[in-house]
Amino acid sequence: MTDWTWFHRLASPPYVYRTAARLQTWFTALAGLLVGYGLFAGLFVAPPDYQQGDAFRIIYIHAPSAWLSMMCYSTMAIAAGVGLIWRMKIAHAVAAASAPIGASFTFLALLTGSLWGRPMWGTWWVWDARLTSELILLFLYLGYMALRTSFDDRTRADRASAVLAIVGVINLPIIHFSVYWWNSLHQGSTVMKFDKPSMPASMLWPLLACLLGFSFLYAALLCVRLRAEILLRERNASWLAGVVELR
Amino acid sequence: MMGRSFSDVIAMGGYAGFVWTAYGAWLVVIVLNILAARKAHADALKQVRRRLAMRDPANVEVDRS
Amino acid sequence: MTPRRKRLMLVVGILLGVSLATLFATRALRENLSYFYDPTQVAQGEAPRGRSIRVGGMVTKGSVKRESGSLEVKFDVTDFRHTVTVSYRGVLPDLFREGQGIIAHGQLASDRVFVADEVLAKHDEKYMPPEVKQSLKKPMNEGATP
Repeated sequence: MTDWTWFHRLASPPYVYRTAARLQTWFTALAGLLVGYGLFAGLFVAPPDYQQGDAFRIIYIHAPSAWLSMMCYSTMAIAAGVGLIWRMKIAHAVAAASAPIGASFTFLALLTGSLWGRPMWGTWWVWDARLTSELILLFLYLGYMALRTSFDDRTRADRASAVLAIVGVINLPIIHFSVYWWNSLHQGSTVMKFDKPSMPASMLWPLLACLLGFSFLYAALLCVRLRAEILLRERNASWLAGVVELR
Repeated sequence: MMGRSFSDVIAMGGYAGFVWTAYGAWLVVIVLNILAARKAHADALKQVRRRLAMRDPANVEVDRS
Repeated sequence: MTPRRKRLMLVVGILLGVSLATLFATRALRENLSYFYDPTQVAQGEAPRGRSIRVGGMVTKGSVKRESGSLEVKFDVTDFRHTVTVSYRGVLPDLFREGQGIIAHGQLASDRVFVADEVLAKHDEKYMPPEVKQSLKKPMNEGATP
């Protein structure tokens, strides 16, 4: 027989609150180590690119930001879906906690991309398939957050915003495959593909460290925001007495 | 390559403006992200504390006196 | 207006805003895509004259000619079947070089001459240090993609 206790425990706010608090420390430490190594090696150790020189070093913050902008959205949409289907409050809390983090990484991806595109491509912005779909992703995040704040009742905010999050999922494959489907100024994927990465190890290791490190950073931020969400949702619950005394 | 001189690193092969602006913006957004998340948690905690204090019978008696 | 009504309006407004922003962005994208032509299409007369379009392709090796004392540049863009000559006055992006993919924005002046007001350079997803590129040029390397 399948043991479903883990699923029920995941739905229990006190358990999730305490687990998030414990995990947060680990995630923060891992994020600090990986991002620290990745950015240092990317900026100071990795060789310059044969065509782009040192401008290519923007990749070490641009690619992980872009990757996270999509990962945060996937997390948000999946959590929102779980929340809708199983009426799971914690899942809605995860979705709500993900949105502002995802929005900030989407903004970073667009901004660093622009700073990279200007010297290399010759333009800050072009209405290209990849750039446009990433901009729409930012609109989706902002719409999701605005929609949440327009409801006073949390349950209704959860449901309405979940629908928007799920509908917006269609944008994710469009962002990823845009560079192959349309004649795009943006190049294809260097790492996120089935083929081996188009980069030597000296450039690749710092990038992989940044990708993983940024993901842990997201996980750590999610833990903090999720705990805030749980506190607000459970403010009348008796288990909080124990938590508040402890901290 | 390894052993790039300090001034080489700062100059970024002529792309200093673009590279350092990008990294600077990254740092600002990450710091704001951390501060905002921590503030959200601190605010929520404050709200819960206030509620708990209101429900605490000891405080209720102090209020009545 | 009741608070309930007000909130409904707000929700509708936000959803409308997101949809409108998305609509405008996709429209800009479509416009950008539909006015793109490759040298073959230009050679076969499919590209309109007197309207701003984009032409993309590879810069032919040895075709870049700079007018001395001005920013005027002429070069050929090819898709390996047909070629269009692009004339451009302005600063080229740093990645612009012979053999590089570019996208030019401007108007067709004649059958084979495209007057560009903007030239953008494309690059691929491959990154490598200059020394590796040097060694790849030597014929001894087999199986390595340049």
